[in-house]
Amino acid sequence: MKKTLLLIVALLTLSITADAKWWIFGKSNAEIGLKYLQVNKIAADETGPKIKVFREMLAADGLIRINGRGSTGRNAVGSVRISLDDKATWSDVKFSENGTFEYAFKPEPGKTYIMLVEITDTAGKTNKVDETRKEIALSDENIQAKVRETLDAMFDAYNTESLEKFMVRVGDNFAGDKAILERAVKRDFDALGNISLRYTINNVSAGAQGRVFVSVTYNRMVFVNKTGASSTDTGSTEFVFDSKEGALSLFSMKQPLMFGLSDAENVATGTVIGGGETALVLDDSGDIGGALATRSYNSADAHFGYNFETQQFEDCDGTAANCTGQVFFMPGVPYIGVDDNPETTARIGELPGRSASSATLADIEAAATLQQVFGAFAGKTFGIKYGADRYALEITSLSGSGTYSITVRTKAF
Amino acid sequence: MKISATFAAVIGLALAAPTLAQDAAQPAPASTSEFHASNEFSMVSNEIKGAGKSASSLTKGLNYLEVLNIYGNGTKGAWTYNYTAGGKATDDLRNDSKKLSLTNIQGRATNNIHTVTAGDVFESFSQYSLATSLKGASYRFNKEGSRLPEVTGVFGWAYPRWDSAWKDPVTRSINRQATGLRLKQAINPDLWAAGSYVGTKDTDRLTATDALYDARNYTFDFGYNPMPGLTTAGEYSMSDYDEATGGTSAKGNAARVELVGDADPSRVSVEYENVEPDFFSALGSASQDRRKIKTRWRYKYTKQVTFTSGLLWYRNNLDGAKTAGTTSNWKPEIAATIKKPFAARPYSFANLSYKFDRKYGGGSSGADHYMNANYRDRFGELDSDTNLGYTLYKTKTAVRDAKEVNFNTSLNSRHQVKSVVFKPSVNLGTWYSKDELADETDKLYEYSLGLGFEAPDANLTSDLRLGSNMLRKSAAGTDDSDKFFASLNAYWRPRLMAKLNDSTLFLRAGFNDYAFTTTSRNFREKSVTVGINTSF
Repeated sequence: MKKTLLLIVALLTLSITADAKWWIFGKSNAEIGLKYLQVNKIAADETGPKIKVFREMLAADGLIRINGRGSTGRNAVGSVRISLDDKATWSDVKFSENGTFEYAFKPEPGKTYIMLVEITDTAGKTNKVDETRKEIALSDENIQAKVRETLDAMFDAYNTESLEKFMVRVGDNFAGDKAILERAVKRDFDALGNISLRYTINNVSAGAQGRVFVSVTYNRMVFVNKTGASSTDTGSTEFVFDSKEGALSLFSMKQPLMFGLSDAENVATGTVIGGGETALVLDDSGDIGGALATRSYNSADAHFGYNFETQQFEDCDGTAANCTGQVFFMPGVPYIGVDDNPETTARIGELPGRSASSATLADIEAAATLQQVFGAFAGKTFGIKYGADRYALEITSLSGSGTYSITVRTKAF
Repeated sequence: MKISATFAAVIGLALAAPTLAQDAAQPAPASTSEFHASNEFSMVSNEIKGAGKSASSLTKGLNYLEVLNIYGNGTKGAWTYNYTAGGKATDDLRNDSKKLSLTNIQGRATNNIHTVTAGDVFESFSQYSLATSLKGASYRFNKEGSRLPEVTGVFGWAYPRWDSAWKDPVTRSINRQATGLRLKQAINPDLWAAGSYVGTKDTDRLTATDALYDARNYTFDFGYNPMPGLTTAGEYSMSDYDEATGGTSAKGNAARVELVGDADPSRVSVEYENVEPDFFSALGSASQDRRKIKTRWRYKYTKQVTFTSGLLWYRNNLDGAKTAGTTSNWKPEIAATIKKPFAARPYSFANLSYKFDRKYGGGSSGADHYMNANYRDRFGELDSDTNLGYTLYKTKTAVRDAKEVNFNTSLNSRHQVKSVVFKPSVNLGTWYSKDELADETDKLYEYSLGLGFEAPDANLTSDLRLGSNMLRKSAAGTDDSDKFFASLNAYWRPRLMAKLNDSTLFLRAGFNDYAFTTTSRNFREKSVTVGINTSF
């Protein structure tokens, strides 16, 4: 950890102090140019050659603001000019001693402005003006239409299993990491067939930093290649998009997930309130992993059970035969068992090295051979056979004495 | 009831924001305003037949979907304002669990120093602190050209939809109330820094096991341009939460820093992130229990050739508390994009990529290889796009050992007859998977034919597509399946509706026939949607 931090600090220090012409970047402070250039607070380096701005993302005064800082080496900045009509006319722009400047104009919807910025130093040398060229346009679409266009393209790419077309819509700064999502979607496509995914929009909200929040209701059917089985589910989820070059790129997704089901834990950042973790997930083997659920409980005494069907804990006593669920806990022993329920053929076993999300049916079939396990500790995962049903249960936390606080993650297969 | 009253006030404020702007204006010249609306109404008829029809995700019968949005803006004296509102109505529960719902409402007014927003408020502070929308209100102070910091305050509820706000029984969720404050200061033209606080408090548990958080996030973030072409940005956040249901309390930290060097011929980025297991952000975006380092380098070797390479490493179990142990991941990748790989072929384009996944620890050990080659070209009037991929899944824990090959090719062309354009297309694909563990194979074959049609003079476009997917499985007890599909999408902008700036009549028709080895799973879907989209 310390070595990593030292390495980062060293890199940062080198980059800050470097004044030589890096072969890698091809620029130096000696050249006349722009230290930075922003259009509506978004770095021009990040926008590409075309910038499409939506009404909803303008400041309330409706102006597009261009600000930057001239870089002129040893000489001072002599003048700053901006053209919005491809050099046909130029406007002088006020600048400060350190070369910073700001220019604002009110765009007309549908019109394209060809912007160029000219920096001249006091010796009369100018920057490479053509390198600053940007096409700026105010979209006459509203943000809802743009969101629908983007979601249509993403859902269509996912339905037709086109990885390239899908990833084009994902931003480089995707919160769950773009590389993780790309591999997860590739695994989704290998695992699923005949994907039919539809949505309607519940809410769209455009806000600061050019970001757009979107809530949708989804409806999904997939076929699992490994088993040939089909699965349908419906629910609501949320996305956040970045706006760039007039296009929206995916910034984050929450559980329940629409895309990247093969690595849901790493792809999703957050859970929709009330959405739970009940949506489709794919396990490492490419099969439907079942629904994940997280449940917590404070026990009234030293005995309690858990029912996978209702996903509820229950206050029960094994010897009184009042447990309706599949497993029974006595953490004080520490004991977890399946021998106090009506299904006498039920079996349980520990799944070493597995979590609820990584446990597979094969793991459970192999491990669940006992009626009880003496070792119900936090961090352990158990597989349960109950009639024809199969479950995985991970104890994520367990504390107390006499009465207990427990949290489990479960998956039903 | 109290919440409903509060939300009535929020909506009232959202509706009144433009009016407030007008009232607050100085004696002013003539005011200006704009008003726009868009509406889409569609009727869908779905027919599902066959013994296996319960597997369909369509709703049988005739249903409707209505989506309305209005938005407008204006000025009054020194103040400008804008507003937006929208609603949705449907009788198909798969479209929405509510028949009638308010989708969005927002009002905003500013005099360029003070900005007030009410309704849907999306004040994106930073990734770890606040990156989600609230139903509430915000205020921003930002005096350009002064040394004063930019100040943003926000208060609201993190409901995913408006009907959750008034406790509709169908869409009710727990109540997550949020308060946020952010101060951002430009220290010099190249450096800014910001500090923010976000507090959330959950109430109104729906079930006895719902987690209820009382959480606080204190966050510092910055941006710095040390030299031309180089930018750095970073963030540190500390969380402190109490969770009532499980009776847990914890504090955690998260930090990330990113350096991006971007100027021809290279773009280089380096990222580091460390999110502790106990870090919690109710309204931000973070993957808990992750330490990550990522580098990426895009290098334009020539005008035709660009190389891209990347390395991602991350691991979990940062506090060493997982009895299962630590899982580490390595994900290197390299790709080359070549424009005109054959000098005599001006439209040729090739992309070659190799990606590797190594995952080990925590009971897992896998090494997956992904190789892909893509070639695009134009032969006469035919545009071609061909993709060949090979994937090798390999695990030491016998979870997934498989070799997979996928191949797709598409041919498209464009023919113009007077003012009418035809766009025929053919797609062919196959996917082969050999499961080494089960010693079974899966084969998927697919084809489709398409015909696009454009008549600009008649404002008509359409797309007809039909094809089939066939899955063949060697494993006993599993079903082969065939899907035949046909679809027609047509869009017409009639001149009669020229008064309405952008009105489109549309028709979408689809037919899917699913057949399985187990014939009791067979079913067919017919779907026809007609609708009109109008805006002015």
